[in-house]
Amino acid sequence: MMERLFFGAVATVLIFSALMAVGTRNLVRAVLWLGLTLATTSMFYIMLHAPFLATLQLILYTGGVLSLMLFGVMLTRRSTEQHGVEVHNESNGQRRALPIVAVAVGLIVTAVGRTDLSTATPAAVSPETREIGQRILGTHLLAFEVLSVLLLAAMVGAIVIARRKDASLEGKDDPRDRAAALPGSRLSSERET
Amino acid sequence: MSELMLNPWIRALFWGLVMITGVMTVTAWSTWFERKFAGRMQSRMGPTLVGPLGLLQPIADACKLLQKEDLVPDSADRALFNLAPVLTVGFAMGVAAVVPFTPTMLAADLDVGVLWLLALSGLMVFPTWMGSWASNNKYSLIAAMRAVAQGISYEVPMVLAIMVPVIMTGTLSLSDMVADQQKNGWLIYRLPLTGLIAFVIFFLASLAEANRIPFDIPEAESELVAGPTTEYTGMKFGLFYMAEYIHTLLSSAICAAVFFGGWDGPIAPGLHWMLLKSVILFVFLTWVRWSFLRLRSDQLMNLCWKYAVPATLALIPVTAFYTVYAAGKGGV
Amino acid sequence: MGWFDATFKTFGITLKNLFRKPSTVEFPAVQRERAERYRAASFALLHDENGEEKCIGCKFCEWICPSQIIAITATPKRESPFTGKKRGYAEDFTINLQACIVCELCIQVCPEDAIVMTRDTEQPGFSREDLVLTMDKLYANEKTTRLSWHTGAGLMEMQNPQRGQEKPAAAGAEDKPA
Repeated sequence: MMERLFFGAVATVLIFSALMAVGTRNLVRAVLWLGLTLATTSMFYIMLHAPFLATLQLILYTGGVLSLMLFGVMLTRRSTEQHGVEVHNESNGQRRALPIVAVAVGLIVTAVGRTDLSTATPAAVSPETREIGQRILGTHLLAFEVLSVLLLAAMVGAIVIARRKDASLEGKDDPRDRAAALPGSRLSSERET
Repeated sequence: MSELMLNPWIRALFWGLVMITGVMTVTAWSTWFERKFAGRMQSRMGPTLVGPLGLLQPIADACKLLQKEDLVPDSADRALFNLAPVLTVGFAMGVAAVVPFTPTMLAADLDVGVLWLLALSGLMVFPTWMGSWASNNKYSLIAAMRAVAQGISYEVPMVLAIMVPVIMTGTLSLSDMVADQQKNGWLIYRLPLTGLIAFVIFFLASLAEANRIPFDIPEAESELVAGPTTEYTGMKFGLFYMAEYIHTLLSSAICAAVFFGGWDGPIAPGLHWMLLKSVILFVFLTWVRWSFLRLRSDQLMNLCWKYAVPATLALIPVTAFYTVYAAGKGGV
Repeated sequence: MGWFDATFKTFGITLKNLFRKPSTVEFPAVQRERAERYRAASFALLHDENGEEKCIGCKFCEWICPSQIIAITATPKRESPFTGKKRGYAEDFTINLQACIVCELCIQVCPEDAIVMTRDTEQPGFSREDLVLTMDKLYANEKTTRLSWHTGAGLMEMQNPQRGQEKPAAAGAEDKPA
């Protein structure tokens, strides 16, 4: 009975935070509501006897993805606006999106409703870490390696895109020299005297 | 009463409260110890007036913080502002749940204990950032960005360094790691000696996560006013401050458990060994704090990405090869 | 190896310092050593060797104080129980320490060397009344505090040799007629 109560409570929090994440006007708060959604998802993993997935969810999603999104919000918007960063929810867009969302929800609900869940049991294997590890490095090794290469390509691409193309900064490690090399700096002329 | 305790929910709640009280009390008196120790290292006495040897100083500090005015800036985001210190302390204390004090005295014997503490250490950067964002103060926002950068950078060597004990003992559960050390020797001196280097790197990374000197440029007590916590007063500030101490104490407890054998000892294995090792590591951390200068932001990042990460990346294959080789030889 | 030295030598230094005796002076339980002429912002009124109050109530100190912190109520002259001669007395003598600028002018001007400063500061108090020295406190300070340049400040000898004392022998000074 307590399990059902707990499940109900966590599910309520999850749905509420997901709704707030898309509904709130303040972008930073939206990201933080998303963080709460991801954290409650990890609680579901725990209820399904998958603690490895739960902690990985916390580390990677709540820890990693959320950082990324926060940095994204911070560094790309005028973050010092009066009431935080604003999201504009236009009513036109909402009206157009409503039938699409209704169709999608209908499909999911029908699919779940028609699945036979009576034989599904939570993973009786504990620790499931070993199972996951053996499958990643055994059955699905190729996909795992392709993912690593993809991540490497993404990182290299990001570094190349963000790299400063200024040749004038070659070999200058001292922050003063770098500052002097920037356009508009008065330091470069003063350093010669 | 006893059948109430049989209910796992009630039991969890009760022992959770006990653990929280224990951690807070130990943290409070660790501030006393730190002030005394720091004082003696600087040729002065620490607190002496409140209670014998100044032992009641933490109580005086708590009372002082409680009676201060609770200011929330006008243009601050009230909800996030008030939530941030609570979350910081919450995440810091969550680590206490997996620390194996004795074979039986363990709040949550998770199979993935190592991942749990990594998750919470990583999550701790958010409330710090949240607090300064909610303060609506550009000054504390800059400090918070530095704190977040430091926090997420040092997670990488922390995660990689703790993979070395995981490989050597073959389990993610902290209590199983300590049991394995009891059988096969402490990880700090086991072959290959990657355990020692991993310990040093994990220790430094924990220091950096907790924003302790020599890595405390975000707070920089004598330079930036209070970094991300500039706008906080009273007990909220006290909570941030306490979160740093809790993180430090629990990091020393984790290092004692994972690298130094936890409750294992030459004579009588038990709680006293665990506490002794944690205390020695905490004393060492305090010693480090009062001996070194603060690292500049870029020096800090250099240390992380140019020295710590390559070192740990090199350690992992060495440990893995040796473990498989030793297992093959031993016929396991 | 620079970094090795820097790390371990630092540890050595702080460890050595840990076991040294701290150089703290636990004020106010322990008072510092002060030079004999050190003056702190506190006062004492003196008795002479017969036990009589030296203060004659002339109000020179009240008049000269730049901060005007001294308040004296003088009495008409009456007979002294010790010498039998008529002399003045101060009925009430109050010094408000809150504004004292420690200039020592009151000590220098006193014709009877009745007032001296002390070497120990007054303890802080919880109310303004604690920082006002009453006559009883001033006479009590004579015994309980360390006085600064105790024996009558010596200034009278330096400044007023006509009062029956030898001029101090200055370098190259010639004897002038008194």
